Amino acid sequence: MAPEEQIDGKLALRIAAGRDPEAEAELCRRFWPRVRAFGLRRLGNEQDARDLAQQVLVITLEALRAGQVQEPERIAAFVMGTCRNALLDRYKVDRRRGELLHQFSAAEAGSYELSVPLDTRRLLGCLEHLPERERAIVIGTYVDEQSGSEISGSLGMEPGSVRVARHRALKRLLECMGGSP
Amino acid sequence: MIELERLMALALGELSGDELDQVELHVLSCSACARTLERLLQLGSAIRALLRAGKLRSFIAPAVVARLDALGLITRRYRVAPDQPMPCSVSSDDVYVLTELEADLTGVTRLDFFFGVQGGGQMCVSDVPFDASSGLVTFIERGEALRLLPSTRIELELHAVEGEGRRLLARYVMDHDAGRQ
Repeated sequence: MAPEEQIDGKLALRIAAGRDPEAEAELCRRFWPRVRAFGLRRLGNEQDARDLAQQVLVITLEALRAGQVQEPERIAAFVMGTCRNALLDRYKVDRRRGELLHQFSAAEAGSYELSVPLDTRRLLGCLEHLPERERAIVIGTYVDEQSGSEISGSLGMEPGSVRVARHRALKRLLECMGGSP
Repeated sequence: MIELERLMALALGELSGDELDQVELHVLSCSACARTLERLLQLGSAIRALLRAGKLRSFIAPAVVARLDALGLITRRYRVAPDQPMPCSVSSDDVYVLTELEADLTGVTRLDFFFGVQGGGQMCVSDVPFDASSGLVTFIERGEALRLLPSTRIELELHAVEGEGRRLLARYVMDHDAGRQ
Protein backbone atom coordinates (compact mmCIF):
# COMPACT_ATOMS: atom_id res chain seq x y z
CA MET A 1 0.00 0.00 0.00
CA ALA A 2 1.38 3.43 -0.96
CA PRO A 3 2.30 5.86 1.86
CA GLU A 4 -0.58 8.20 0.96
CA GLU A 5 -3.06 5.34 1.18
CA GLN A 6 -1.63 4.34 4.56
CA ILE A 7 -2.15 7.85 5.90
CA ASP A 8 -5.70 7.94 4.51
CA GLY A 9 -6.41 4.56 6.10
CA LYS A 10 -5.12 5.62 9.52
CA LEU A 11 -7.28 8.74 9.46
CA ALA A 12 -10.32 6.68 8.48
CA LEU A 13 -9.65 4.23 11.31
CA ARG A 14 -9.42 7.11 13.81
CA ILE A 15 -12.77 8.49 12.66
CA ALA A 16 -14.36 5.05 12.81
CA ALA A 17 -13.01 4.54 16.33
CA GLY A 18 -14.84 7.54 17.77
CA ARG A 19 -15.50 11.27 17.33
CA ASP A 20 -12.26 12.82 16.02
CA PRO A 21 -12.78 16.25 14.39
CA GLU A 22 -9.08 16.65 13.67
CA ALA A 23 -8.94 13.39 11.70
CA GLU A 24 -12.14 14.32 9.87
CA ALA A 25 -10.74 17.67 8.82
CA GLU A 26 -7.50 16.12 7.63
CA LEU A 27 -9.24 13.35 5.70
CA CYS A 28 -11.45 15.91 3.96
CA ARG A 29 -8.47 18.15 3.20
CA ARG A 30 -6.73 15.23 1.52
CA PHE A 31 -9.72 13.88 -0.42
CA TRP A 32 -11.31 17.15 -1.44
CA PRO A 33 -9.05 17.87 -4.46
CA ARG A 34 -9.01 14.23 -5.52
CA VAL A 35 -12.81 13.92 -5.59
CA ARG A 36 -13.04 17.31 -7.28
CA ALA A 37 -10.70 16.09 -10.07
CA PHE A 38 -12.77 12.92 -10.38
CA GLY A 39 -15.91 15.02 -10.62
CA LEU A 40 -14.43 17.50 -13.06
CA ARG A 41 -13.76 14.68 -15.49
CA ARG A 42 -17.20 13.17 -15.11
CA LEU A 43 -19.25 16.35 -14.88
CA GLY A 44 -17.25 18.81 -16.95
CA ASN A 45 -17.53 21.90 -14.80
CA GLU A 46 -15.95 23.17 -11.63
CA GLN A 47 -19.08 24.02 -9.70
CA ASP A 48 -20.64 20.58 -10.16
CA ALA A 49 -17.29 18.98 -9.29
CA ARG A 50 -17.15 20.94 -6.04
CA ASP A 51 -20.72 19.97 -5.25
CA LEU A 52 -19.86 16.35 -5.84
CA ALA A 53 -16.82 16.57 -3.57
CA GLN A 54 -18.96 18.04 -0.82
CA GLN A 55 -21.64 15.37 -1.20
CA VAL A 56 -19.18 12.50 -1.26
CA LEU A 57 -17.25 13.69 1.77
CA VAL A 58 -20.45 14.17 3.79
CA ILE A 59 -21.50 10.61 2.99
CA THR A 60 -18.02 9.25 3.71
CA LEU A 61 -17.81 10.90 7.14
CA GLU A 62 -21.31 9.79 7.95
CA ALA A 63 -20.49 6.19 7.07
CA LEU A 64 -17.20 6.23 8.99
CA ARG A 65 -18.82 7.68 12.09
CA ALA A 66 -21.57 5.08 11.92
CA GLY A 67 -19.08 2.22 11.52
CA GLN A 68 -20.53 1.35 8.12
CA VAL A 69 -17.23 1.27 6.20
CA GLN A 70 -16.09 -2.33 6.13
CA GLU A 71 -12.42 -1.66 5.44
CA PRO A 72 -11.53 1.85 6.64
CA GLU A 73 -7.89 1.20 5.76
CA ARG A 74 -9.01 1.08 2.10
CA ILE A 75 -11.01 4.26 2.31
CA ALA A 76 -10.25 5.33 -1.31
CA ALA A 77 -12.24 2.35 -2.59
CA PHE A 78 -15.19 3.41 -0.46
CA VAL A 79 -14.87 7.00 -1.73
CA MET A 80 -14.82 5.80 -5.32
CA GLY A 81 -17.98 3.75 -4.82
CA THR A 82 -19.59 6.75 -3.17
CA CYS A 83 -18.57 8.99 -6.08
CA ARG A 84 -20.17 6.65 -8.56
CA ASN A 85 -23.35 6.27 -6.55
CA ALA A 86 -23.55 10.02 -6.11
CA LEU A 87 -23.24 10.54 -9.84
CA LEU A 88 -25.98 8.00 -10.48
CA ASP A 89 -28.27 9.48 -7.91
CA ARG A 90 -27.36 13.13 -7.71
CA TYR A 91 -30.83 14.47 -7.14
CA LYS A 92 -31.42 12.25 -4.16
CA VAL A 93 -28.11 13.27 -2.63
CA ASP A 94 -28.86 16.94 -3.29
CA ARG A 95 -31.99 16.72 -1.18
CA ARG A 96 -30.11 15.32 1.77
CA ARG A 97 -27.11 17.58 1.52
CA GLY A 98 -28.55 20.68 3.07
CA GLU A 99 -29.89 18.70 5.96
CA LEU A 100 -26.57 16.94 6.59
CA LEU A 101 -24.09 19.73 6.04
CA HIS A 102 -24.49 21.24 9.50
CA GLN A 103 -23.68 17.85 11.06
CA PHE A 104 -20.50 17.38 9.00
CA SER A 105 -18.92 20.79 8.84
CA ALA A 106 -15.51 19.36 7.90
CA ALA A 107 -16.95 18.58 4.47
CA GLU A 108 -18.00 22.15 3.74
CA ALA A 109 -16.47 23.87 0.75
CA GLY A 110 -14.29 26.91 1.11
CA SER A 111 -11.62 25.76 3.50
CA TYR A 112 -9.78 23.50 1.08
CA GLU A 113 -7.35 24.00 -1.74
CA LEU A 114 -9.00 25.48 -4.81
CA SER A 115 -7.77 24.77 -8.28
CA VAL A 116 -5.40 27.39 -9.67
CA PRO A 117 -6.84 29.13 -12.76
CA LEU A 118 -4.89 28.67 -15.95
CA ASP A 119 -2.96 31.58 -17.36
CA THR A 120 -4.66 31.78 -20.76
CA ARG A 121 -2.11 34.21 -22.23
CA ARG A 122 0.58 31.73 -21.46
CA LEU A 123 -1.52 28.90 -22.87
CA LEU A 124 -1.90 30.83 -26.12
CA GLY A 125 1.87 31.07 -26.39
CA CYS A 126 2.24 27.38 -25.62
CA LEU A 127 -0.29 26.48 -28.32
CA GLU A 128 1.54 28.68 -30.81
CA HIS A 129 4.71 26.70 -30.18
CA LEU A 130 3.12 23.32 -30.85
CA PRO A 131 3.95 21.72 -34.20
CA GLU A 132 1.11 22.38 -36.68
CA ARG A 133 -0.01 18.76 -36.78
CA GLU A 134 -0.21 18.52 -33.00
CA ARG A 135 -2.13 21.79 -32.73
CA ALA A 136 -4.66 20.54 -35.30
CA ILE A 137 -5.09 17.33 -33.31
CA VAL A 138 -5.52 19.20 -30.02
CA ILE A 139 -8.14 21.49 -31.54
CA GLY A 140 -9.97 18.54 -33.09
CA THR A 141 -9.93 16.76 -29.74
CA TYR A 142 -11.35 19.57 -27.66
CA VAL A 143 -13.58 21.43 -30.04
CA ASP A 144 -15.34 18.60 -31.73
CA GLU A 145 -14.87 15.97 -28.98
CA GLN A 146 -13.36 13.83 -31.70
CA SER A 147 -11.90 10.44 -30.89
CA GLY A 148 -8.48 9.41 -32.13
CA SER A 149 -9.97 7.38 -34.96
CA GLU A 150 -12.17 10.27 -36.15
CA ILE A 151 -9.21 12.62 -36.21
CA SER A 152 -7.06 10.07 -37.97
CA GLY A 153 -9.62 9.73 -40.73
CA SER A 154 -9.84 13.44 -41.36
CA LEU A 155 -6.11 14.11 -41.20
CA GLY A 156 -4.95 11.07 -43.13
CA MET A 157 -3.13 9.58 -40.12
CA GLU A 158 -3.21 6.18 -38.46
CA PRO A 159 -5.26 6.08 -35.21
CA GLY A 160 -2.21 4.96 -33.23
CA SER A 161 -0.20 7.89 -34.58
CA VAL A 162 -2.95 10.32 -33.61
CA ARG A 163 -3.05 8.93 -30.07
CA VAL A 164 0.72 9.27 -29.72
CA ALA A 165 0.72 12.79 -31.18
CA ARG A 166 -2.18 13.85 -28.95
CA HIS A 167 -0.43 12.64 -25.81
CA ARG A 168 2.83 14.25 -26.91
CA ALA A 169 1.04 17.56 -27.50
CA LEU A 170 -0.68 17.47 -24.10
CA LYS A 171 2.61 16.70 -22.40
CA ARG A 172 4.25 19.63 -24.17
CA LEU A 173 1.41 21.92 -23.08
CA LEU A 174 1.63 20.75 -19.47
CA GLU A 175 5.37 21.32 -19.42
CA CYS A 176 5.05 24.70 -21.13
CA MET A 177 2.44 25.74 -18.56
CA GLY A 178 4.75 24.75 -15.74
CA GLY A 179 2.61 21.81 -14.70
CA SER A 180 5.03 19.00 -15.45
CA PRO A 181 4.48 16.27 -12.87
CA MET B 1 2.18 8.49 -8.91
CA ILE B 2 1.19 6.57 -12.03
CA GLU B 3 2.45 7.28 -15.52
CA LEU B 4 1.38 10.57 -17.07
CA GLU B 5 0.25 8.57 -20.11
CA ARG B 6 -2.50 6.89 -18.09
CA LEU B 7 -3.72 10.17 -16.64
CA MET B 8 -3.83 11.68 -20.12
CA ALA B 9 -5.77 8.66 -21.35
CA LEU B 10 -8.23 9.17 -18.48
CA ALA B 11 -8.60 12.88 -19.21
CA LEU B 12 -9.16 12.19 -22.90
CA GLY B 13 -11.79 9.52 -22.31
CA GLU B 14 -9.65 6.78 -23.81
CA LEU B 15 -10.08 4.30 -20.94
CA SER B 16 -12.85 1.84 -20.21
CA GLY B 17 -13.58 -1.25 -18.12
CA ASP B 18 -11.06 -2.43 -15.55
CA GLU B 19 -8.40 0.03 -16.69
CA LEU B 20 -10.76 2.96 -16.10
CA ASP B 21 -11.61 1.61 -12.63
CA GLN B 22 -7.93 1.21 -11.74
CA VAL B 23 -6.90 4.68 -12.82
CA GLU B 24 -9.90 6.40 -11.20
CA LEU B 25 -9.23 4.57 -7.94
CA HIS B 26 -5.60 5.58 -8.12
CA VAL B 27 -6.54 9.24 -8.63
CA LEU B 28 -8.66 9.05 -5.48
CA SER B 29 -5.61 7.76 -3.59
CA CYS B 30 -2.98 10.12 -4.99
CA SER B 31 -3.03 13.88 -4.50
CA ALA B 32 -0.33 14.56 -7.11
CA CYS B 33 -2.22 12.51 -9.71
CA ALA B 34 -5.47 14.36 -8.90
CA ARG B 35 -3.68 17.69 -9.42
CA THR B 36 -2.28 16.56 -12.76
CA LEU B 37 -5.65 15.22 -13.91
CA GLU B 38 -7.30 18.49 -12.96
CA ARG B 39 -4.65 20.42 -14.87
CA LEU B 40 -5.23 18.30 -17.95
CA LEU B 41 -8.98 18.86 -17.73
CA GLN B 42 -8.48 22.59 -17.24
CA LEU B 43 -6.33 22.67 -20.38
CA GLY B 44 -9.21 21.20 -22.37
CA SER B 45 -11.70 23.74 -21.05
CA ALA B 46 -9.32 26.62 -21.67
CA ILE B 47 -8.56 25.52 -25.23
CA ARG B 48 -12.30 25.31 -25.99
CA ALA B 49 -12.77 28.80 -24.55
CA LEU B 50 -9.86 30.25 -26.55
CA LEU B 51 -11.12 28.76 -29.78
CA ARG B 52 -14.61 30.13 -29.19
CA ALA B 53 -13.14 33.54 -28.42
CA GLY B 54 -11.41 33.62 -31.82
CA LYS B 55 -7.90 33.44 -30.40
CA LEU B 56 -6.35 30.45 -32.20
CA ARG B 57 -4.94 29.92 -35.65
CA SER B 58 -4.42 26.46 -37.04
CA PHE B 59 -4.56 24.11 -39.95
CA ILE B 60 -7.71 22.12 -39.31
CA ALA B 61 -9.51 18.96 -40.36
CA PRO B 62 -12.79 19.08 -42.36
CA ALA B 63 -14.81 17.80 -39.37
CA VAL B 64 -13.58 20.72 -37.29
CA VAL B 65 -14.65 23.14 -40.03
CA ALA B 66 -18.20 21.77 -39.74
CA ARG B 67 -18.15 22.24 -35.96
CA LEU B 68 -16.82 25.80 -36.18
CA ASP B 69 -19.47 26.55 -38.79
CA ALA B 70 -22.16 25.21 -36.47
CA LEU B 71 -20.86 27.51 -33.72
CA GLY B 72 -20.97 30.49 -36.08
CA LEU B 73 -17.24 31.10 -35.71
CA ILE B 74 -16.27 30.97 -39.38
CA THR B 75 -17.44 34.31 -40.62
CA ARG B 76 -15.60 34.49 -43.93
CA ARG B 77 -14.12 31.88 -46.23
CA TYR B 78 -11.98 31.73 -49.32
CA ARG B 79 -11.43 28.78 -51.58
CA VAL B 80 -8.28 29.47 -53.54
CA ALA B 81 -7.11 27.77 -56.74
CA PRO B 82 -3.43 27.77 -57.70
CA ASP B 83 -2.13 30.76 -59.69
CA GLN B 84 -5.46 32.61 -59.61
CA PRO B 85 -5.24 35.79 -57.53
CA MET B 86 -8.00 35.92 -54.92
CA PRO B 87 -9.19 39.32 -53.63
CA CYS B 88 -9.72 39.16 -49.89
CA SER B 89 -10.42 41.34 -46.88
CA VAL B 90 -11.56 41.24 -43.30
CA SER B 91 -14.28 43.09 -41.39
CA SER B 92 -14.61 44.20 -37.80
CA ASP B 93 -17.07 41.32 -37.20
CA ASP B 94 -14.90 38.49 -38.45
CA VAL B 95 -13.98 35.85 -35.86
CA TYR B 96 -12.17 33.35 -38.06
CA VAL B 97 -11.37 33.51 -41.74
CA LEU B 98 -11.20 30.08 -43.31
CA THR B 99 -8.90 29.50 -46.28
CA GLU B 100 -9.08 26.34 -48.36
CA LEU B 101 -6.21 25.79 -50.78
CA GLU B 102 -7.03 23.50 -53.68
CA ALA B 103 -4.24 21.10 -54.56
CA ASP B 104 -3.64 17.73 -56.13
CA LEU B 105 -2.39 15.86 -53.09
CA THR B 106 -2.29 12.44 -54.70
CA GLY B 107 0.63 10.48 -53.33
CA VAL B 108 1.72 13.29 -51.02
CA THR B 109 2.72 12.07 -47.57
CA ARG B 110 4.21 15.22 -46.10
CA LEU B 111 3.55 18.86 -46.87
CA ASP B 112 5.37 22.09 -46.06
CA PHE B 113 3.67 25.47 -46.29
CA PHE B 114 5.36 28.76 -47.17
CA PHE B 115 3.86 32.18 -46.79
CA GLY B 116 4.92 35.79 -47.08
CA VAL B 117 3.94 39.19 -48.36
CA GLN B 118 5.08 40.47 -51.72
CA GLY B 119 8.56 41.93 -51.49
CA GLY B 120 9.11 40.48 -48.04
CA GLY B 121 10.65 37.25 -46.83
CA GLN B 122 9.01 33.86 -46.76
CA MET B 123 8.24 31.81 -43.69
CA CYS B 124 8.02 28.04 -43.70
CA VAL B 125 5.63 25.92 -41.65
CA SER B 126 6.77 22.31 -41.69
CA ASP B 127 4.61 19.22 -41.87
CA VAL B 128 1.17 20.76 -42.03
CA PRO B 129 -1.80 18.39 -41.61
CA PHE B 130 -4.04 17.67 -44.58
CA ASP B 131 -6.57 15.21 -45.90
CA ALA B 132 -5.30 14.05 -49.29
CA SER B 133 -8.68 12.68 -50.35
CA SER B 134 -10.35 16.10 -50.06
CA GLY B 135 -7.83 17.82 -52.32
CA LEU B 136 -7.78 20.73 -49.86
CA VAL B 137 -5.41 22.19 -47.31
CA THR B 138 -7.48 24.12 -44.80
CA PHE B 139 -6.56 26.65 -42.15
CA ILE B 140 -8.20 29.28 -40.00
CA GLU B 141 -6.73 32.67 -39.16
CA ARG B 142 -7.96 35.05 -36.48
CA GLY B 143 -9.96 38.01 -37.70
CA GLU B 144 -8.20 40.15 -35.08
CA ALA B 145 -4.80 39.30 -36.61
CA LEU B 146 -5.91 39.95 -40.18
CA ARG B 147 -7.33 43.35 -39.23
CA LEU B 148 -3.77 44.46 -38.47
CA LEU B 149 -2.60 43.73 -42.02
CA PRO B 150 -2.18 46.62 -44.47
CA SER B 151 -3.34 46.18 -48.05
CA THR B 152 -0.83 43.76 -49.55
CA ARG B 153 -0.35 40.75 -51.78
CA ILE B 154 0.03 37.54 -49.80
CA GLU B 155 1.90 34.68 -51.44
CA LEU B 156 1.40 31.10 -50.34
CA GLU B 157 3.05 27.89 -51.51
CA LEU B 158 2.61 24.20 -50.83
CA HIS B 159 5.61 21.93 -51.20
CA ALA B 160 5.49 18.13 -51.14
CA VAL B 161 8.36 16.76 -49.11
CA GLU B 162 10.01 13.88 -50.93
CA GLY B 163 13.04 12.24 -49.38
CA GLU B 164 15.55 14.94 -48.55
CA GLY B 165 14.03 17.53 -50.89
CA ARG B 166 10.87 19.46 -51.65
CA ARG B 167 8.75 19.75 -54.78
CA LEU B 168 6.62 22.84 -55.40
CA LEU B 169 3.06 21.62 -55.55
CA ALA B 170 1.11 24.84 -55.97
CA ARG B 171 1.42 28.60 -55.58
CA TYR B 172 -1.39 30.90 -54.46
CA VAL B 173 -1.92 34.64 -54.39
CA MET B 174 -4.33 36.51 -52.13
CA ASP B 175 -4.73 40.26 -52.60
CA HIS B 176 -5.65 41.65 -49.23
CA ASP B 177 -7.53 44.95 -49.26
CA ALA B 178 -7.48 46.48 -45.80
CA GLY B 179 -10.02 49.12 -46.81
CA ARG B 180 -12.67 46.83 -48.32
CA GLN B 181 -15.06 44.80 -46.19
